[in-house]
Amino acid sequence: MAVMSFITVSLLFALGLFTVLSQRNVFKTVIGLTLMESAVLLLLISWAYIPGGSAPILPLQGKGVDPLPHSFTLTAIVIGACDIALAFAFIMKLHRFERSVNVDDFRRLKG
Amino acid sequence: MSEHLLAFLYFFILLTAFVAIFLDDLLSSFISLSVTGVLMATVFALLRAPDVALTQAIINSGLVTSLFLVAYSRTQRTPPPAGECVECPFWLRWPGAALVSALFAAVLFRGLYVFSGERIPGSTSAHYLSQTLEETGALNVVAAILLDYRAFDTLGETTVIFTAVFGISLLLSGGKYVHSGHGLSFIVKRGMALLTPFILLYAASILFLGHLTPGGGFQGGSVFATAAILICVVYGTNFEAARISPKSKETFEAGGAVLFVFIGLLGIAWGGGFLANLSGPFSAGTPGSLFSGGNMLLLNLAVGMKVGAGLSSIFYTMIKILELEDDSWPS
Repeated sequence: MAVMSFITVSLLFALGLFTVLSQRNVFKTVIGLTLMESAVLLLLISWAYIPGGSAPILPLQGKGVDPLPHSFTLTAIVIGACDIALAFAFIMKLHRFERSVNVDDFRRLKG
Repeated sequence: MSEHLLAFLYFFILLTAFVAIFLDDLLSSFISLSVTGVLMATVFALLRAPDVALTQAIINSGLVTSLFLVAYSRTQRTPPPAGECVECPFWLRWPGAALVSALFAAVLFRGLYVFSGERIPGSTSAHYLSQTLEETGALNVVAAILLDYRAFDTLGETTVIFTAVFGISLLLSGGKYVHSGHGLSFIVKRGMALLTPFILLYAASILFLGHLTPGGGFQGGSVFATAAILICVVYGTNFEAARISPKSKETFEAGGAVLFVFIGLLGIAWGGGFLANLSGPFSAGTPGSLFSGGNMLLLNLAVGMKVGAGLSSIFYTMIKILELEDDSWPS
């Protein structure tokens, strides 16, 4: 089961990286960043899972899964959402000046 | 837990991610990404992480998608110059990117494969699981870690939210906000009026029962922000601004931070240390009752105020820009 999760995490992260590298639309770049973030979240949660474990709500039935990665993941989700909101604000501002959301059209930064 | 179900969900996560990347229509691709988020939330619930599943469903697939819709409608008003860049077309770009990504995936999997043996939780996690009830009085171990054992981290995280709100306001504010949409139709407005109390009740129950059940300040605050966003969309932004003014949102956000730090300093004053809970002035109470877990209820309230006010002001700032004419954009 862990191997299955790790394969999914690797593929999801690679998909996100591929998007960031190959796509020219800045919205697609944001999608790529979101996918990479999701891969990291999935890795943390699947790593915290223990076969047969129960959710970390007391009283536990049997052994519980690892609660520490859960709290890290919570933090990461909220901060990731703030990151993406900031990225959208940058896109809106860029579109105001460049009239485009395509990276190739942003000519002002070129030397 | 059924492994087949998990494999099925993983397959569809990859499929929807694939669709989100390769669709030309941005709107469809973001809806597809939102579906990926919901499937991820299901996987988190299956992997016994109810807190994370709740947060993922509310924030990543709900709020982020709504923010995308605003940014998307702003940038689609003037259609971008169409066509691929002539210098470097897609068919020339993708082999290199695919090679790098494939190599990265292989290395990543090789590295992760080391951890695929039987997993033994560290002593820290074992301590949290066995001692939480005694040391904090809370039933939700994740909330106890966030708000008691590692509460200082949570203070830092709320600072990050504040910084994001600050940055977005700096980038997008400065115009005179006189324009406002008239909202949606009469039927939607009446329906929303009936729904609002229940949404607020749901948000409050998630927020105040965070130390007992899955949920807490982050999730409850996000649902509060969702209610504000819905009101904004259904009734128009001027109505929302008249009911919940942007100033009062700022006050709420600052109030949340001040409350959090005040509770922390109270611990020092009692001789326990910053953000001390049971070694400070707070008592554990009866486990399972609302007033238990020491300062966790107040800290949840502080985090909820901060997250709710922060996220709703992000949305308000962005949607206000949407209603401005192109010429009156603040520069």
